[in-house]
Amino acid sequence: MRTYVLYGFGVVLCIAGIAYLAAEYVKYLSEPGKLACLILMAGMFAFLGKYFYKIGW
Amino acid sequence: MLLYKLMRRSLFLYLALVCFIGLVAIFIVDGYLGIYDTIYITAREYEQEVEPDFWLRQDQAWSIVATWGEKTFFRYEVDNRRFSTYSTTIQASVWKENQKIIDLLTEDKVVKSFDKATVEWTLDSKELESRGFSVGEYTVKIERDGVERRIIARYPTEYPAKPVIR
Repeated sequence: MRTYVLYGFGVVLCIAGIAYLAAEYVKYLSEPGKLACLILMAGMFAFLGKYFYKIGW
Repeated sequence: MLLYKLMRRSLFLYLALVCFIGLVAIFIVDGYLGIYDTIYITAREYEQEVEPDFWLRQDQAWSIVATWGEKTFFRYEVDNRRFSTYSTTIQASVWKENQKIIDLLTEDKVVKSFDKATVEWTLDSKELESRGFSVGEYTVKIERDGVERRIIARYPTEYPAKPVIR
């Protein structure tokens, strides 16, 4: 149980770090760049969802 | 055959990975690479830094307050974050009521790939005074390759200190 709590902390910190860096750098992106990022992010989550669905999660 | 099966099973994972790589590539190419400029202004003994994202977020002028009779120092830094050399002519001038009144600087600069170049100049209010101008607002325009940065230099009226009544 304690291991999973530590895993949880690790995951949350990783996500927070990536979100912070993305928020810092996103202001330097042009408008088409932001749109492309949005599309790619939607695609990434969709494909990940599909993958996990296929392996039976 | 095994590889094909593995590829087929993990196809969506690879597609997600491609999307992630695309995201990182956009952040690098669109977000980091390019020509960025930073302006450092020293007036009234305070140094202000106008970062590149100020001009990216809004197309407005940066405003400073200076003292009439003193000099204002400018430092303009061009950061070339490209794989090729960047050549440009940097111009700085003072404008009042949409008319150029003083040329402060004209300098050709060659900035190597992933390198920086800096130019400096001074805005002397005594020079403005010698041309018949007085306290008020002046625009310092910085131009390079069709990019224009505007700094509004404000010279407020300095009132004499009130005498202390005991």
